Order: sequence, then C-alpha cells, then structure tokens
Amino acid sequence: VAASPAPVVSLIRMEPTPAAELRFDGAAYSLDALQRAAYRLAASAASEFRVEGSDLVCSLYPAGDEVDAAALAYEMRTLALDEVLRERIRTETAAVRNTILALAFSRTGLTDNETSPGGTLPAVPDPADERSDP
Amino acid sequence: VTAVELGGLASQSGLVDGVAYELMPMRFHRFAGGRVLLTNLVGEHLFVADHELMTILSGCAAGDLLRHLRGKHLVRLPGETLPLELLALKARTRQWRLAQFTSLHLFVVTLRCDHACRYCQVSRQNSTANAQHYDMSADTAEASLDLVFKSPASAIKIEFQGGEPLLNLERIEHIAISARRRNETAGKDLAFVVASNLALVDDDVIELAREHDLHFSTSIDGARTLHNRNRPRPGGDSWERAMAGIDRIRTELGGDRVSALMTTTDLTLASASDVIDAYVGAGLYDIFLRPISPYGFARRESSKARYDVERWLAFYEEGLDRIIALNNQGVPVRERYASIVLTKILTNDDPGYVDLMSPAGIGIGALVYNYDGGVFASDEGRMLAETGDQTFRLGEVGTDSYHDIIGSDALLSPLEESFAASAPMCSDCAFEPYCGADPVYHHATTGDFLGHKATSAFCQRNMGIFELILGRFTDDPVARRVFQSWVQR
Repeated sequence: VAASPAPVVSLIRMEPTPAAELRFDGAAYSLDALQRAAYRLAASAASEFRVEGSDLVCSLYPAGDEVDAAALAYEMRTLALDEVLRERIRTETAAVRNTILALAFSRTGLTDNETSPGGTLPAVPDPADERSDP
Repeated sequence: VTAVELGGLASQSGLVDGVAYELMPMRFHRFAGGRVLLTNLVGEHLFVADHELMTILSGCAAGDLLRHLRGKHLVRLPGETLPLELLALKARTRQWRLAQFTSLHLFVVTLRCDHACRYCQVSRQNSTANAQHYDMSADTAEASLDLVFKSPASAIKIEFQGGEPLLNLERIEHIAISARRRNETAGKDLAFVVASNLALVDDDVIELAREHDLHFSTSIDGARTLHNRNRPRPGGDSWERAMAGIDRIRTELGGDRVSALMTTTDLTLASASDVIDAYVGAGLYDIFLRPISPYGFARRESSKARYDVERWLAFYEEGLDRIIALNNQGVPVRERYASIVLTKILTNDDPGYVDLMSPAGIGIGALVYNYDGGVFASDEGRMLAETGDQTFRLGEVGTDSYHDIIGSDALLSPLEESFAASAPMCSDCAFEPYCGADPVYHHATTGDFLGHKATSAFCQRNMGIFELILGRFTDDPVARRVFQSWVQR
C-alpha cells in the first residue's frame, strides 16, 4: 500500500509593525525597570525588547486599532522613569526593609519551635495536633 | 529630570543645612494636578508636590518637608532606631489577624429559595424543590461544626446562607444549639448571623432569634421599584416583605439586630443618590455600595448586567458625595467600603474584610460549608463550583480533617500565588497596604490566581476608590471630618 503523500503546509509569517520604537540608554535604565514599565502599560500596548550595543530598544504594539503613537511613547517614557525611581528606592531601602520585617515577625508564635512571649500575638496550635480522623 | 541625572544623585543619604537622612521603604503614586502620594511600609501617607519627590530622593529635603517625612517614617536620621521599631510594631499590628484564622464560617443550610434574583450567584432551587436533595443534613451540620471548633480564632461567627436559609429553620436551630453546647468548653466569642431576604420572618423566626441571639443581614437594592425588579418573587413584594421584616426585627429584637447590603446592577447605576435616599428613608444608615460580582451564575447575566469600571466608579463617587452631604446636614449615614478603606489608611488596624486582605482572606478569613458537605475557601468559590469549577473546593466534612483542609494545595496555592506584596505591580503600588489579593476573582476572570494587574478590573476599581477617598480626605474639610468620624466609631 502506497503511503499517503505528506500534506503540504504553507506558513504565513505575520510580523506586525510596532506603533513606536523607543531607544533607552542601558547605562541609565535597567531591563528590569523597563519591563516593569511595560507591564504597567500592558492595557494599552504589548512590548518587546532587544539589546543593540549599549542600548535597550523597546517596540510597542498597541492593544487597539486606534493608536496615538506619540501618546503611547510618552507614556512609556514616563513610566520608565518612574520605574527607575522605584528601583532606586528598592535598592536603597532593601536592608532596612528586611530589618523592619524581621523585627516585626520574629517571635510571633507563627512558626514551629518558637516560644510565645507574653503580651504578643497568641501562638497558633499546630493543626496536626488536632487531627481527628484516624 | 532624566534617568541619567538620576544616576548622579546621592546614593544613600543627603546633607543639607547639616541634616543628613536615609530613605526608608516607601512607594509612590502620581495623582492628577502634580501631586504625588507617598506611603510608608505600613500605609501611612503623605502628599508632596511632583518636584519634591526628586528633592526627597536626592537627599535634599529640608525644613517642614523633612519634618513631615520623618513624622511618617519615610526617612530617618543616621543611627535612629525608633522609626524602625515603630514601623515593626505597626506592621505586626496590621497582621494580627493572621494568627486568628478562621473566624467566619458560612453554613449553606439550603439551596432552596423563594426569590429568583436576576443576578443570583448560586444555582438556587425553587422553594418547593425536594428538601432532601438541597438542604443540609443533621450529620453534615455536625461534621461541619467539628471543623469550625478546630479553628484557632478566639472569635467565631457562624453565618447562615442559602438559598434562603429561613427555608431550613430546623437546621439553623440545630446548629445554634449544638454550637452553643460545644462552646461551653471551647469558650470562644460566638456569634450568629442569618443572611436572609426576610420574606419569611414569622413568630418562629423571631422566637429562635431571641433565644439564640441571631443577627440578620438582608439585601436592599434601593427604592421599591428597583428592588422588586432585581429581586422577583411570587407576589412581586420582595421590598415590602423585607421592610416589614426589618421593622419587626427592630421592634421585637432591637435596632442593632439587622443590617442591609445592596447589589449593584446596570439598573442601579442610573442614580446612586436614589439608592442612598431609599436607605435613609427606610432608617438604614449603613450603606455598602458594592459592585456586581463576576462569579457563578452572575456571569450568565453578563450581557444584561454588564457595565464597566468607569461607570461603576462614577456611580460610587456620586454616592459617596451624597453621603458626605447628608452627614453635613446631620444625617449620620456611613458607606461601609469607604469606612473599611479609611480604617486601613488612617489606623494600624485591619478590619479583616476578606476582599481586601493579603494574604488573601480565602480560607484563613472565611470557610464555607455547603449543603452537600463540600468545604469551600470562600462563598465566591462555592458559587464557581455551582457552575462546574471546583478549584476552590477544599474537601469534604466528615471525610477530610481540619489539617487536610487548611493545609490543602487548593488553599495554599492561591494564597501563595496571589500574595500582593510580591505580585507584579502590586509590590511597587502605593496603595498595596490598603488593598488585597483576590485569587477567586482573578481565577474567575482570567484563569489564574494572580491575574494581570494592568488589566484587572479589581485593580482598576480599587485604585479608583483609593484615589477618590484620599483625594476627598485631603482636599475637602467636610469629607475629612466625616471620614474621621467613621474611623473613630
């Protein structure tokens, strides 16, 4: 029995055109900051990044048909700058943040093998101690 | 200011007029008009001008600005430890409920109902349907109570749900008696609430409520016409029966024994003021302006009851302004969602409202015991199950232990995956201390527990509310006085 011929599949490659392309100086903007900005912009546009030399290039693909490319680019640049600020705050305050949270949640009785100090949150019984089924 | 200029800013501290300071954890959100909201680790807030944000981050704040920043623990002077200790204490206080799980236990004592509400979120059955199939049995009730009293919470509230729970009054009485008997040794602060349309309130209901100190929560959607259109029942007299039930409970049991909630539909959005005036006219001074939920059978109504976030926010703003105006005229009416949010903004307490908790309130804030013995992480999870989605079914009473249910992947996975402090966008959001994680909502609308925050209606709605409330609190002296009175109640 002769084998059936393989089906002919033709692929149509779709390459949408970005509404805007923005170039960021990699020394001033981290990829993380730009990706966070892109996430915030996601209701308006999807984003794609590529590295060109020391630059980060961001292509913006709008979510809808009616596109104001200039407004989209302006918003992305504004968001990106705010994300640089947030990154700066995170970096500078990471140690003290961890210190505060460690201070806040140490000796709460919420973890095993802790003694519950007087005047603090009540210790939670281990649910396993109350298992009632055989 | 460009990012290149930012790179040249002082790295750890500034030194102006001899005052050096160190940044403390903070988040910011830009408001219209050039203002920036700063919140610290526990949500205490300060508005600054746009240009002042750069001054602060470059270490150049001085004078009054620096004093305000220190007062809100947004910066500290080198070597100061008191701001750290105070923030730690406040952070710990805000999370005190974590050790007190689970305090709310919902018993779906029947799926039968005498109403056929247009937005009904459960697969309610006619009141004449076979009770054997749709009512909670005595064995299921006892097995559910076994789990309730395993909870470490010192305060336990049992809420009877439906369907219409008064159609299974026998089971309500059974559960109340058994719970009180168990509590003689458990010693918890035990309370009961019946979530009822009140159409079936009679002598037996009043007597049972008197004997077991039952409170009632009912539904009033607004004025008579709107309410009866939203909530059809035989005779078309839902509003009249609810009002009669409210009057009777107040007269015979006390004014504090009944409260009301509304559900918003597209019909409601025409006028928030009409809804508020209807509440005040009925002597109801607590109003909860709620959005329609996307769960369960309510989703089937999407073509009829759909409205977007912007329309709902406009409705909410109109309603809140009407309530503020009424307070200014001496009418002490309160909007409950704003009151919850304001408590989170202005104090270190957390009201424990399930939708605005992170970790999410499912399971650790509330558990639901369905008529058929299924245990659910939330009432919304139960509603999803009625449409065939069993994601939030944690186990079965009488089969699964408390440990199995509280430690189940069905509960822990959504709690972990939706935790706001580590979620994209939420972790940097200035409103995060006021907001919550809602894995059931995001699962229902997007298919995953976390959701996509940039497109989430939950996120857009809550951010809109936070902006509105903080804006009114800051700019309007009358609103500020009213808001403070709600928090101080």
